[in-house]
Amino acid sequence: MKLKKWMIGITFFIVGLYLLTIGYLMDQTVSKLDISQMNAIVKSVEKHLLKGDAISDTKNTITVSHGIDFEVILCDDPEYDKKNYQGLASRATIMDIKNGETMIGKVIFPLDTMAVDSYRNHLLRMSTLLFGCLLLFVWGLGAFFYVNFVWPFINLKSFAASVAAGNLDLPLHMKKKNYFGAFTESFDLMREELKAARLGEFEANKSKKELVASLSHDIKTPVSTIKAYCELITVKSKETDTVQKVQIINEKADMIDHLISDMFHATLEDLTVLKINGKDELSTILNDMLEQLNHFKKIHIVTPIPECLIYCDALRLSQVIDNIINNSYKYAGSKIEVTTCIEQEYLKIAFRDFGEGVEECDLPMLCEKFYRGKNSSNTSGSGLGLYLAKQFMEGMKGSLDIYCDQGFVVTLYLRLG
Amino acid sequence: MPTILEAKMLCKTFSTGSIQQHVLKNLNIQIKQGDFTVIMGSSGSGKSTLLYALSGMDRPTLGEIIFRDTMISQYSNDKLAIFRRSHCGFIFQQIYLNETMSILDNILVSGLLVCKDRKTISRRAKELLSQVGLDDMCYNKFPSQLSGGEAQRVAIVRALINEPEIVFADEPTGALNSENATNVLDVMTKMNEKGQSIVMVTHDIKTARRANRILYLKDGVILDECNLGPYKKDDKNRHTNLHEFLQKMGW
Repeated sequence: MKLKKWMIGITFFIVGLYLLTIGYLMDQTVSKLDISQMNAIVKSVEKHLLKGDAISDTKNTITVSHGIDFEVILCDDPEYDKKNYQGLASRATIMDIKNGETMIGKVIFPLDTMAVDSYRNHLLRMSTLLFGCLLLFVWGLGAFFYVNFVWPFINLKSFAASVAAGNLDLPLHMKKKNYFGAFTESFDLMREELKAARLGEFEANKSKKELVASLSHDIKTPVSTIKAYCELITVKSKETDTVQKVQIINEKADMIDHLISDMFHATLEDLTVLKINGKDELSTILNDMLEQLNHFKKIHIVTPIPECLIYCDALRLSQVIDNIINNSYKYAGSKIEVTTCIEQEYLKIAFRDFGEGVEECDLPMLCEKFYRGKNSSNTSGSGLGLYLAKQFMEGMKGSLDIYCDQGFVVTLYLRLG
Repeated sequence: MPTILEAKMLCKTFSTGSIQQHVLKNLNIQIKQGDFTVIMGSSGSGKSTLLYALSGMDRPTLGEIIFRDTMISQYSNDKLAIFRRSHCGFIFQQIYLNETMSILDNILVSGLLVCKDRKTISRRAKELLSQVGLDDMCYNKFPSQLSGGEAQRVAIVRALINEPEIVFADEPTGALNSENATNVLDVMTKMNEKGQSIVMVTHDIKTARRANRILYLKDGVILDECNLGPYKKDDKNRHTNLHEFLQKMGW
């Protein structure tokens, strides 16, 4: 981040300046006297005085050698008391000159070391405060700059990233007062437009797929009828020419069937639901549905279908029954018994064939998408029939049960209207 | 009491072109002998359709109607007409008396369809007329000379002339003022007390109060029923019960 680097640079610069100032200030403390120096001076003054040198000579020689100004006053000096008081008043450092045990005078160092020290300390404090304030100001400026100018762009960046990732639901929050408010708002507008367009596209795509899926499944029903009649003609007709041609028709119908299946697969992959328009229907439609499928006269309606209103989508229900009956034709080939009765809120329809049924372990999986039983390897199919049937039944608020009992039994439960 | 009339999985569908309208949906009803049953419900809920289907005036689309032990829904039109004539009585909102015949003749016409003995019929007619509060003054009057309430009472006599096992009434008090309505209802209550089974359609709460069983119909399904017990005049409890029931049904 550029700004951070700048901030760090500026911080280092200011801190450097501060340290420089401090160093300079510390360097200015040349006039500082320490006790040992003062003691040395006092001792040499004592020595000189005891030697019998004049006060002025002593003072001169020592001042030259030490470079420090001081005053010597002896006890017998008439101004002794006065000077002593003056020295004390001006906070000078005063030390005794002793001859053995007796005090003969004083050395007065007029320097006020404390004052200089406090002055320096004051300067140090001031400069620390000044640099501190400067640093704070710079950081504050940086923060202000970051919040008002950099942050919106960072926000915009993450927003653009999320839009690019396809997440069009996350709005871009930006206050109108912000410098870039109006600017970012148009970005948000763009997102909304994009979202609407995306949704429209999705809906269009979905309905197209639904149409293809439902169409392809609807086409299969008449094709299977064509095939059934072809087989019937093949069996009944005695003219070889007719039989040959009918067989061609049959093959072509097979081909259509396969193509439709392929198309259906492709679209079904993306679709989990097919549209079901449930409404109340008379139960007599079941008779018609069964009659239409009874190509081989194998369907036996054991108990008459109870007259009632059922809740279903007639088209989907016919597809369900079509799937069940055609499965039976394909795998069992025996007669099919249809029994119906009313059980509480449901009309129960059981389709029983007398084929081999399926293996016990296949049962729970049979209604899964693309699942085919172990005995199905020799027959064509997509593994969708029962899956769709179950989906349709559940869509019609009913249900579908399968089990084996001297053949394969499929039970439909249809809600009463 | 034995069941006199029973409907099983009764459905009535009206179709116009490809549009189907299911007016009655899988109805199961039992009507006991001697009951005064009232069918209530908002308009368009299928009340009258149900009454006509039960009485054999109209055929149900699906389902069975069993009168005592015979399935009348499978009868031919002629057989159904004979059945209606001898077992059912009908009272409507419109009175449908023949304006060109006297009161007595109006009644006798219905009676003679079933029983050929004119004397017996005539005697029974006069008996019934006095029971509904009409004296011999009006035997030879014409319907236009009667008040609405009197005319409706004549219609009731006509409905009862063949001693029907069950009487169907479709809003019998709908066109009457409240005094006449009370008179007519009193007559019906009296009939019921003598053991006459009645099925009546109404949406008048006062009329419904006479019933001992109320079926509430909504969108072609019986939502619930309410048993009120035998009718007593000025029974406060009955009134509150009925009100609570109708409120619960969203009437």
